[in-house]
Amino acid sequence: MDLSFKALRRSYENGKSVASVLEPLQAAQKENRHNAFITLNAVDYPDFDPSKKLSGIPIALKDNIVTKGIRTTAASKMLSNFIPPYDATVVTKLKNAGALLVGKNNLDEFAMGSSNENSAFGKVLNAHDSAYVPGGSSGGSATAVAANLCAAALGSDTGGSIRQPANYSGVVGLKPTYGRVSRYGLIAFASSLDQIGPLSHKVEDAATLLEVISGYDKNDMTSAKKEVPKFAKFCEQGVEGMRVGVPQEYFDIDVDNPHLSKGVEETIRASIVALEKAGAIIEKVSLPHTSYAVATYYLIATAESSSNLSRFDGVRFGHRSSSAQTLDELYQKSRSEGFGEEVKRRIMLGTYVLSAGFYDAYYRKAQRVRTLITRDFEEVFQEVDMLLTPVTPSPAFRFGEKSEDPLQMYLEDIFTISCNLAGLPGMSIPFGESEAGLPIGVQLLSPWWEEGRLFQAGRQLELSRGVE
Amino acid sequence: MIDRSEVVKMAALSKLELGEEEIAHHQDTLGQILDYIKTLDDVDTTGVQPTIHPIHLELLLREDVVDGVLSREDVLKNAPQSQNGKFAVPKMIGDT
Amino acid sequence: MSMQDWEIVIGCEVHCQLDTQTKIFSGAPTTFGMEANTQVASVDLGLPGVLPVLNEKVIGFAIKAGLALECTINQVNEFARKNYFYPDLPKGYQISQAELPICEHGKLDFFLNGQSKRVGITRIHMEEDAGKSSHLSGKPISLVDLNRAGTPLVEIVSEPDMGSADEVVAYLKELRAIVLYLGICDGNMEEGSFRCDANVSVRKRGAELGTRCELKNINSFKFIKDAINYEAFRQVELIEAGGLVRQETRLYNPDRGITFTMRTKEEAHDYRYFPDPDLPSIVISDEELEAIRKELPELPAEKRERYQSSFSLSVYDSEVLAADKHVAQYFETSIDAFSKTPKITANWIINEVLRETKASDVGHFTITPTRLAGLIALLDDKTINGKIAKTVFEKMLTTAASAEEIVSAEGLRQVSDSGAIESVVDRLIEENPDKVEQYRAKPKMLGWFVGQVMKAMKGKANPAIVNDILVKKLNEEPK
Ligand SMILES: [Mg+2]
Ligand SMILES: [Zn+2]
Repeated sequence: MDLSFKALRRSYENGKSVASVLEPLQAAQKENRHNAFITLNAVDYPDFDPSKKLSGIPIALKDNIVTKGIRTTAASKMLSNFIPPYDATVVTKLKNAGALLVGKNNLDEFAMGSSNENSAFGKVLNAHDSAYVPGGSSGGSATAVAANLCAAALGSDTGGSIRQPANYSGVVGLKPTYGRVSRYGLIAFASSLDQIGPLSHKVEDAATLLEVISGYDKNDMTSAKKEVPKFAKFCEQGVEGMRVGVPQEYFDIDVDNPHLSKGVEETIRASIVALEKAGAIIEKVSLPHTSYAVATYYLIATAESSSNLSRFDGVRFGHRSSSAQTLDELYQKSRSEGFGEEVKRRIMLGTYVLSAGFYDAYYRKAQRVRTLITRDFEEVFQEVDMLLTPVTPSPAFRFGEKSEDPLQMYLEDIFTISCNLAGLPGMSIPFGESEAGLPIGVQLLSPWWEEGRLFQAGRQLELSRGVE
Repeated sequence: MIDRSEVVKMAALSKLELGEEEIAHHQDTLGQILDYIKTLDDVDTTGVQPTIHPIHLELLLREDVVDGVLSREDVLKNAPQSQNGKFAVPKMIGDT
Repeated sequence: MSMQDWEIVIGCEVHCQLDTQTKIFSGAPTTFGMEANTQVASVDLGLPGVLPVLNEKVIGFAIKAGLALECTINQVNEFARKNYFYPDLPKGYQISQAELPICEHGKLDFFLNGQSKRVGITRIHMEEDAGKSSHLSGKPISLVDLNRAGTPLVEIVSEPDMGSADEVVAYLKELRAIVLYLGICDGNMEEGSFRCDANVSVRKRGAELGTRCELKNINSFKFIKDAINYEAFRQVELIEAGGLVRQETRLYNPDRGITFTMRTKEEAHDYRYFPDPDLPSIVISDEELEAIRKELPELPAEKRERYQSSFSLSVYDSEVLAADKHVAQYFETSIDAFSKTPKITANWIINEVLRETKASDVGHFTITPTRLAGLIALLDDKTINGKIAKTVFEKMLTTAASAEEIVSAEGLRQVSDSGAIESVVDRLIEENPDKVEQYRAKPKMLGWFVGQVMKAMKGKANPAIVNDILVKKLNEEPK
């Protein structure tokens, strides 16, 4: 069944009932073959309301987005019984737009991971081949969309956590400009990097969802008071005359970094050709600080997360060890039992880089390099309107292939991470296939607040692949 | 490279209880990551301002008006242990 | 051992709860004394996903404190996280300020025993308060109430410029008066709205600074004084016995009058401060700063000076009147209503009004400043004398009538008619020849005669005239 927003709306307008669309989906969700869901929501079947943008549209939420009265776990044992007393701002907005919130998606615990192997609720299987990872940390959301279990999903992207699983799973994934979407109700990983965004079948659906969830929120001082454009309109505008930059550093990467796989290289080349054919002007550009992005990212992200995750102490909510006698034991045992290995590693790293004597050399230094990385983009966007890059060096890998080597896993994020450091919007769009038949996407990056351009070019790429 | 003692110290600061095996494992992986992070030493950041927020944020303040108070029931709903309407924990040290 | 050989060095960290309706980062009310965990929003609970939203009042309040203490205002400053685990700290970090506080480099001048004293202000920063813990007796359990968590505070950190417990108390009183004048804090020490941590060390006169101990959360001026004196004595005794002072945090037990270890330096934290990514930098424009400067009221030091120069009051009187903004307000309103004799008004307030009411309640005192002015006017135009005035004051406590009305209704007008006084004096001299004899030898006897005249005239006689007539008549040669 075609679960794009337009197709669903057409069915409803033709008299199909919400129940008849939802029932088969719910059956498949319940079966949960890919383990994409942690919790399913018992939705009733409302009548179609044409005045609402998302009426009758089944949407899933990454389980680090807080839902009032519905268990929210962040895929952690720490929160396996946590029932929030409030809704995230994006949840309120989705409800108001008539969306049906069908359930909560699996993820890497506290959004820390690139393969969805770090979930206390079990790994998520790639919808295209269950021997492969779906990507992470929004792997459950990408899979739920790819396996046609919902029309779209919301994920969160701190260093590529929407774009990378979208890339591995063959769906569209968008990370908005930092501040575009309220973070209120997103369980924080790294506050200065996190952003909620859509994963969908079609570019236009991502645009529509972004329209719904965007806007200043008085509950989030890091959300921006910016007008929200009619994003879906951009899908019709084409790329004629658009200057698209291809950053050289993303192709001739140094020895530390993994090389581009053949499939990825071919996909990028094909996408360049497609955009050029549609009238875009392709230019080589340079982002000289690219190779420092991963180190910078892991300093900032872990520092912030070590602090953000301190609230999980077994006192007011969350897992509490049953064997703790003293206060210190309460903290240590509850946290050690509640958190998985990767979360502990990042908390320890973050604690280390903020601790006395290391702060300036690590954390402060990373914030300065962050400024340089941002400047690279500012300069490049003087020359071009957007950038086209790979999403990851290679397509989805097999389970266990990288899980024993955290550093190798981190280096997979090389192309998606700079975007978060600079606060830029970025989108991953499926465009090719690997030899093993796994999807490969391309990444588009635009200047701050110019998500519209991503939809223009993204839609153009879809058209050139014959997507309706 | 990171010393075993540093791993132990970070675990204590982070309130994590690690077994011997975990300590060794973290010493290994954290050491690798920290070595990798040393690449930043190559970047000259003299005179470069640190970035705290990736975008400029306007300072929009909250009116001093009561709003959003939770019921006591909601406050305590997720508490692993509570008594007399308060959160209960093992006795704090240093208090009388 | 002799304390004389030793110098005490004290610096203070004062936490003032800001007088707002709601918390610093949430809309929960700050009302004191409510049922546990009923003044809590999801932000105060540190729930997953919540974000702090800064209360509009807080920046202005902190700037007022900074301006009053002659600080540099950092027009760009930032919130930072102070990371540590404690059950009354919901997020595992306190939102405070570190590298870039809102105010720095100020000073506070005040008087102690007529001597002027200056204490440097290192910094003032904004932060959130923690919750409150209590203990279940007989059980190894502590209980946490988060009503106070997130209450806005400014922390005012002084230089170690104080050398005695008395100086600390004088500093704190002046500071408390200022925050009350500014209207940013209710100054209630029992409820913890104004609390002091004191860093105390001792050294041989002129020697290097000694190791300091921090005395935490002492909630009255008396306890602060006693705690510091005890602590200084303890340190001197320890050193003189060959021991070493350990850097630690200590608490004061008022029942036993001693300080005791709360935690030692070895247990001290590595707070891992870093700028809070959830909160934008605070940017204060020149215009905003000027607007706040214009709102500043006249502060106690300025009032003291003005009372001395404009009203010729003594240092002591002006200090008492300016120490509390309600008293100063009372004094000034009274002077506005009757401005001829400010010194007399001051005396009446200090001696009579403040005997009847607490300084902080003077705003609700039955005898309003205008009524007092009416009484003083009658005294000044000699309608009544000082003694009758006190009677009238007593009566004014229980009625709403003006002094004038009471004097008329009760016939308390002073008798200045010298004929009437003379006839009383004549009769007195006639009836008491022995006393007159005694007066000749001992002029102090005049007092006895004055008393008798006043008694005969029900206190209403003009004492100056009584005096004149008595002296004249008693010194006349016997007929
Ligand atoms: Mg302090
Ligand atoms: Zn403080």
